[in-house]
Amino acid sequence: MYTTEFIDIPLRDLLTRVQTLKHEGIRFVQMCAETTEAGIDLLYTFYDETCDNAINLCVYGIDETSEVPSIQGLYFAAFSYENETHDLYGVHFVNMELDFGGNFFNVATDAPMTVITPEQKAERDKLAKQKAAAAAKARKAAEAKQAAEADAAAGEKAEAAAAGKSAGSVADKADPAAAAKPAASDADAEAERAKKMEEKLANMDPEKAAKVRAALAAKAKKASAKEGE
Amino acid sequence: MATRSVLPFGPQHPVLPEPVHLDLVVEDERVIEAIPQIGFVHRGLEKLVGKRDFNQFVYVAERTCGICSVGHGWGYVSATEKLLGLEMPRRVEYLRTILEELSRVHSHLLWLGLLADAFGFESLFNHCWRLRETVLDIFQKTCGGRIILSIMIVGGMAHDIEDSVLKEVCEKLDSIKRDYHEIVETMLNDTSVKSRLCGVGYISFEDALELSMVGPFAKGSGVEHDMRTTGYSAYGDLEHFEPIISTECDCYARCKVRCAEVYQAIDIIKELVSKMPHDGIGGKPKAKVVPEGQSHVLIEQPRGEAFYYVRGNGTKYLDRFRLRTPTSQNLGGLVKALQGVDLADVPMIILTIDPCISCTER
Repeated sequence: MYTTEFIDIPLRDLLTRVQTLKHEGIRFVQMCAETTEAGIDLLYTFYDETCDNAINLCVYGIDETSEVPSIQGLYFAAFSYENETHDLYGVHFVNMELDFGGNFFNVATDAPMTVITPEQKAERDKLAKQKAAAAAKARKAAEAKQAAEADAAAGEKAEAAAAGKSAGSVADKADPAAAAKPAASDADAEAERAKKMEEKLANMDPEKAAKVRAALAAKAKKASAKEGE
Repeated sequence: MATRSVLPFGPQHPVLPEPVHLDLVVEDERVIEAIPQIGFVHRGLEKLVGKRDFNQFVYVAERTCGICSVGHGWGYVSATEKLLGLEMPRRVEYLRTILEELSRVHSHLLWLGLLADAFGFESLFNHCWRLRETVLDIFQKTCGGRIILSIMIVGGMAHDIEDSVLKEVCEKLDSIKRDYHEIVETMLNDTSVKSRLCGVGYISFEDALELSMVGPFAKGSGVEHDMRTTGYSAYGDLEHFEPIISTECDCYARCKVRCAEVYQAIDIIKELVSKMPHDGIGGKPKAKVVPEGQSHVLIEQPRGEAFYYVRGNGTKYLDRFRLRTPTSQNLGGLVKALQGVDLADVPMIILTIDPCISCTER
């Protein structure tokens, strides 16, 4: 079985690389294009018979202004692919030996292969949304983990402080500032939590943030009512 | 002084079953230059990957061409399976290889019939196509379809072919071989055939390499390139495989190569049937989407090496499907072969290249 390799190269190196392959006696297989959001990608395939290896040179991001050097001078068989790519994708090749001037394929519209179908677009949008949701979920999970760790640390601190309080209640009575310390640390943790929540809400979708705020307010109200009872 | 003129050849011409146009620059009766043009029936099938998901697209790939339907289906599913990282059971590989070799037999018989018809041997044409019908009957019995088989799916085969049926196929192939031998001997040993094909449409070994030619067109010039030697699919399990070549470099050499390939294909099928494994026929893949990435496969079709490339983007639709047919690759060779020939030889040269415009106009 043959092996396959894909090599990314910049457009300026294309001709040099193809010249090297030609010099090594490697056979030309095909050339094709593909429309992406970043422009048009070109794929040149060669086959090395000595070691049964298919070499693919990938050139990314060709736009309307790019001038792609023709390889017909090295591999004449490329004439049909270059003319096809010109007619179907609108890629501009320079120094073509056999140039049909856009009449190789009699197609009704210019560069028809650059159009992305509605089905493809919908699937791509769906995938992008899924990716964004997954990223947001991962971020949220990381933040929750961080908050849990902070809570645990604050809890440990509070426990340690409570133990200290029971051990030296006389001392506490003598020093009101020391008695106020755990309460102050609780207030600090609460403030820290509120600050983090605000940051999270600021990064959220405004509608969703409003809903979360309303839920939090309701929760706080419920808690205060319980305390009153 | 000889005058130069441009003679349009095609897209409608008695010798061309499909539309291809050639601008022949002639000086008296001699062709100085030939400029091919295609695109008269371009269908944009590659573009349909944006409308059909990767499982549905097998049916589009198969319909690229009636003669090479098996190869296109196989090439597409192999490239997609490679992208999905699926490994096929050996039985699937064996069955696919057998169908491809049957396809080679029917493709070469079709071509031989057309060549005989171009010579005016109508009876020979009928005999060739009668034999081809037997192969189509085999397809119907094993797959259900005669031209579009729809038996290959991404992940395996749509259904199995029983061992008893495969044995019957071998018996039918034996009878085809006997009849075919008579036809080939009549055709290749005919004086008028030899006088019209020997030394015509010469392409040297160096030119064949230089022009990256493929298939019997290149093998007729002594180029030993045949993807089956790499042992892909079940070809690696064959006891012995060597590409058939001829070094005469003319139209007659190409005919000899094709005629001999039919015998070779029959032998391959019989060997594979005798070694047929029983490890299942796979099934539809669990994956609902094609992962991001790209892959390609190269397979040896009746007309030569074909290239299939797929690029996935994480959705059920592929970003790109590329099919490079052997005829596209041989257009450069056609231009070269027509330089300096007599105008009367042009139809014969085109026929010995066996262009498949339907595939090229995918």
